[in-house]
Amino acid sequence: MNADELERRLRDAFDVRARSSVSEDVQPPAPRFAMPREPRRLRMLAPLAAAAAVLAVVGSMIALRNNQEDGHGRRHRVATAAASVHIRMVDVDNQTYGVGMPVVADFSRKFRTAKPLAAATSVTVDGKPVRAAWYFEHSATKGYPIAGHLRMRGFWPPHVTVKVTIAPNELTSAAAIDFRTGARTIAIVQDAKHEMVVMSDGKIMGSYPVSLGGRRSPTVRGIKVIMDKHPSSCLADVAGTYRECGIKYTQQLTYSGEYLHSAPWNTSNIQRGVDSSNGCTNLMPTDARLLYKTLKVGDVVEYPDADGPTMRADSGYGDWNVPWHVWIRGGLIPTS
Amino acid sequence: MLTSVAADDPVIEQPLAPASPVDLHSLYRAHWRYLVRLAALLVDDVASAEDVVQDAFVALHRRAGALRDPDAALAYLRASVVNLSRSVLRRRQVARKHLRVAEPEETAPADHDVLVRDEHRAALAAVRALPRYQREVLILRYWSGLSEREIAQTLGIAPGSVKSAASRGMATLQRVLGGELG
Repeated sequence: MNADELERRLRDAFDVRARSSVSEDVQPPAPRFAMPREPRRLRMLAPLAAAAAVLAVVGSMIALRNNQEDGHGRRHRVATAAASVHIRMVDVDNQTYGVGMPVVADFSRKFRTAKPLAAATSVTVDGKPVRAAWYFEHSATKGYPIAGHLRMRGFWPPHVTVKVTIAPNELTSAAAIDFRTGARTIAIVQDAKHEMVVMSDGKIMGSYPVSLGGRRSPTVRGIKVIMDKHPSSCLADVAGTYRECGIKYTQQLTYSGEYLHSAPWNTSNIQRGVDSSNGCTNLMPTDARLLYKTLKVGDVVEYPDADGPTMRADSGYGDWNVPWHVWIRGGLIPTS
Repeated sequence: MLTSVAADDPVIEQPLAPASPVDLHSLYRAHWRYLVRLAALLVDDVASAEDVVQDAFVALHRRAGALRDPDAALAYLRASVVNLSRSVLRRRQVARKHLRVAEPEETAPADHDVLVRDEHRAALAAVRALPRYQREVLILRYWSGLSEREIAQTLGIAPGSVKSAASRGMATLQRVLGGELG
């Protein structure tokens, strides 16, 4: 074999190998350089952390007397724990929320049964009693390991006043909050169409192109609720390897770090219908601005066909992903 | 060592044009396939090759200055791909050494098996066995379509070294493959 033959053979081999690695019909995946701006597991940076973590300003502090006897296995804890459980409610008093907003309370420690609390809780909508139930989860809030969420079977009715009353009972002292609901605003984000359709009180408000999570970081599926919003945020990953400021019109959907937000760097993928974010719902800047103005905390954002697993109930206001027959059993702490 | 694109660039004195994300996206669309193929030749594994190319674009993204000239950007990407491919191979070696991965050295990925004929496979295996610079020079010379000067720039070595690495590599291949074919 002479030098020319060897060269030809090398060229052929390289060419065949190169073609076999990526054929002509393979389309490039979403570029990763467009993603690190909103990595998965985002968290608010320090100055905003308090507001983000506690969801809203903390309202009344109510000392609840826990008369329950602890079991043998928990003798240790009984000896050191205070006699009362502190409960703090997210302050929803006299404010207007979307129809998906759960009533949230944080508890200072776990208790064995929520039966007395459940029996003492009554909820009215515009003065008429409705059925609502508590569901308990672990909470990441410091000093309050248990979170209780209270909701009806379906979303709250629109444009009403909701009153929650906890009557004095063997577990708790009295407490009450009330809040208003606004329009029944539900956004449906269809991954197949890369489109977010927003409906308000039965009318279509508009539809907006989106780019959801790419192959490596798919957006989770299911029903989410807007938890918090900021005109401009600094977001960072938990590992501290990434930090980006100036992300505009962020509306938080999960603790795992999914947001609706403006993504001026990703407009090409938004317009071409390519999923390339790290789980966030990337919006065109003008759309993000409009939706920031029109959507409110408590509004529902559904992802019926997103690629990821179903949203966990404790990854934000994941309440609506728990079927009612499971919900009424109480989750972490039984209610019956 | 990466090629320092900005330092050699004659337009360095001009005010930098704002690095528009659109430029990077179109660069990506235009060169993704070429770069993944280059990386696949270097690391012999498509998944790693795709990672290498993504990392190269992320690196370019951080160096917005390199974007003002598409050719300079491509040179930068090429150099990154070579560099990152070396890291992949180094990591793989370390992993083999420490974890004793029970995997034959010459196992080729599935797509390789289907589409690459024996004759080509032997040539590729022989290239893989060459020292690093020789292997890289041959791949760049006989596949990428780069000039000797561009190869030197990509690898961060002198043009003379490109020439000598190529001839030493070819001599080895001649011996290995020539003997095999008889």
